[in-house]
Amino acid sequence: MLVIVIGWVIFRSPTPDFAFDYLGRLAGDMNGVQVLPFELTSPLPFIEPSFMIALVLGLLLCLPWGEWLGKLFPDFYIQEQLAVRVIFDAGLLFLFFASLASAVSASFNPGIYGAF
Amino acid sequence: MSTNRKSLIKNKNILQSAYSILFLSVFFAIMAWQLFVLGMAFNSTFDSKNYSWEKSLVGQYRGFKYQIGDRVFRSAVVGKDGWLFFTENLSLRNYQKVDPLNVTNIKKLLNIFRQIDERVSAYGGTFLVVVPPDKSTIYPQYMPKEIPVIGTVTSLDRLIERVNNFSHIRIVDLRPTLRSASESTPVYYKTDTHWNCIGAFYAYNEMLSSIKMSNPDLKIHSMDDFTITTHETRFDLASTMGIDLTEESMSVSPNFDVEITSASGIEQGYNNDLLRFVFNSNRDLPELMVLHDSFYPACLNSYVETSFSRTLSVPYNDITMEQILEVIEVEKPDVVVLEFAERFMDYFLWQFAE
Repeated sequence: MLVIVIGWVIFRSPTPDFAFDYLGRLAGDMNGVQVLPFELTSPLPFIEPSFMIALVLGLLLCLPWGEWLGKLFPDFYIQEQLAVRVIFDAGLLFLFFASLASAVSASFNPGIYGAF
Repeated sequence: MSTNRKSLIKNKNILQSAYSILFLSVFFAIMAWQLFVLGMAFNSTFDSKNYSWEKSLVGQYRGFKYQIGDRVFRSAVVGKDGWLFFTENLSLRNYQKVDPLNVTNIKKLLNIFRQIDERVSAYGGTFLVVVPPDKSTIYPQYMPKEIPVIGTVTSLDRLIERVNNFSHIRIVDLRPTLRSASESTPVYYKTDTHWNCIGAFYAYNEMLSSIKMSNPDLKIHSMDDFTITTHETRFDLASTMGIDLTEESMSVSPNFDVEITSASGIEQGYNNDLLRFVFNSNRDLPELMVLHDSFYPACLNSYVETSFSRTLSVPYNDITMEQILEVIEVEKPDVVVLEFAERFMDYFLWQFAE
């Protein structure tokens, strides 16, 4: 992940000096940092509870729950395949509409893909 | 494998296939309905509020965010003790004191004032500028600590300084009065961008005190001359945030004997329906014209209209400078007041700058 982050900084930097300074900032270099107006940094510096919830859920859902539950309850998985699919699809639908609501209600879309 | 078991597996496979088809059909049918039935695909003026889920799904999501303690919403931020603050129209730029209007633009603003003042002074009238402060200017203690003050001077500071040092234009700085009053009573709503009726009264008092210097016969009513009633309502910031939050709204009515009637600009012979004429039964009072934004109808008008025999008011974003000067020339009101909120200073400047 560290290699990827450094790679992205180099990819997006206009000059090598900029990349070096940017990496320094990521490492904690606060020299010459100026407080920017909130309209430029929004939603930062706020770390919202909804963000923390999404982060924790995202980390948890990255784990192979399907495989683990399949090993814990093998009979249920084999016999009730339809029920498992319905539960799985319901969960996906919930995530879909939750992310849709989040995107529609947000006033800020970060990143170079925000225009999409 | 027994026949029964084979049959069971076959039935399960059919069921799973049927479920897949049903799920996909229902899902894409809902998407297609939003696109085609609601017209999004072919209507360039489509309003996303037409989405069947915009109010229920997004509204519930925003309500959930508010309940769990989120503070940054579209157009608003939640401060301390539940105070909501507007974040658009340069409101936060004024609070953080960044990028105030430069001297050149302040001069342009004064030039706009001068145009009106010259027309009013030509017949001996009084011209006054009133600038309602942003809520964050009066209640900085409720702003989130994550949004600090960065600079040292605001656009309003520069305007007041320029007017006091280089101009004879009369301008009322409401900040000291409202800050002082806010120490003993709320003068702005918690969930709205505007002052409440108490704050509007202090503005009325300051405004008329300034006018009285050139119009000694003007009567300034006291707070006891009015009755304030309240009712629950959802204000602009809560509505913008899409959360179900209500607050007691105030309205004002005079205790003394006065009859107030009104007529539109069309009824009075103008080609502008937003011109509003208000007539006071006491015809011995001076006449007033107000160019205003949303702070004027936020209770201020209820006080002001009792002190003038006739009040002509019009939102400044619906009229040109030529039309303003023409109305002043025709009506010749004794007093002309220009009211624009602190956060609308830039907007007002670019509305009327040549």
